[in-house]
Amino acid sequence: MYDASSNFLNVHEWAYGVTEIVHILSLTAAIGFIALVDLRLLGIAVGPASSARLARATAVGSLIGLVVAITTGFMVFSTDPVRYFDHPTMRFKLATLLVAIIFNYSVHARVARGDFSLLIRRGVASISLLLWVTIVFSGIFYSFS
Amino acid sequence: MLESLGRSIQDLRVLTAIRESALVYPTLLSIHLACIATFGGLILVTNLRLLDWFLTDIPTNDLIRALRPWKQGGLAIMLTAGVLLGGSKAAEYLTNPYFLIKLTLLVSVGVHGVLFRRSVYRRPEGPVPKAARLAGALSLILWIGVVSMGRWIAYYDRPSPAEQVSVDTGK
Repeated sequence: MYDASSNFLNVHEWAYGVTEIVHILSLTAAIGFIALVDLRLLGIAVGPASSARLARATAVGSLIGLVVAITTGFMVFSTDPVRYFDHPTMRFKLATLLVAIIFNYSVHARVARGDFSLLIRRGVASISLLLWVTIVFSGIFYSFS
Repeated sequence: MLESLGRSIQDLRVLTAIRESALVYPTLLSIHLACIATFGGLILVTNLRLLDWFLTDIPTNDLIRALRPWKQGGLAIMLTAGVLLGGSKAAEYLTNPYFLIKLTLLVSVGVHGVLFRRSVYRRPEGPVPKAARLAGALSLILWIGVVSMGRWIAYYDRPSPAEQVSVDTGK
């Protein structure tokens, strides 16, 4: 049986804090890289770079950011798994995260690399930004409810 | 002294309302964090470009110019939310060493911007100066420090009044 009280992060307060900091920094990297592509999709010129060029350049960075953010997120989750899992706001966050990841690696990736109308590009960029901002909001609101 | 100053700040009606609202405070904190994630991420993008680690085929000036209005707008929202959040708990924050470190780092970010303004951030066309890498590295380190200290504010163990008394009367 898993005993959360012996979890490293529960025993060492500094480790809990460091994990949270790494979580924030890595999600910043991931969302920032994705937002750069989104700005281009919205029609903002980033020098001569096409959205396909930006999507390629940011792919590794956003993947690393996501992997680290999700890993540290589950490390924090593991300190009190039952409370986290049973909480509606956390369930909403996890569901939105799943949708955002699927969207990012399907529709978003295709539209960034393909030849689509400005309307579609803007719609996809808006949905992408909205999804990631919603995840940040639900992370904060979780801790207040 | 900082504590009484903080108390008179946080007693302002609007800041009291923020502190006591179950909805406004987390909303402001979410806005603060969402700005860090999106616009802070763009700062990271700029820094990586200045370091020559990323998008090296795009001229530095083009990238800086394209992202500037977004970063400035994001910074304005982030700072507004941050000032309201910090102000609503000013007495607690102004006596928290990690918050003071965060403020110092933020001022350093501003100083770095002024110092490298001519040579990096608003330089005329031409070869990229060596200072660009230094500016990128400094900005990256300072901002990581700002975010880290922001989170660490919550981890400050305030000496309890009892301990203070026992120190005062210890001799």
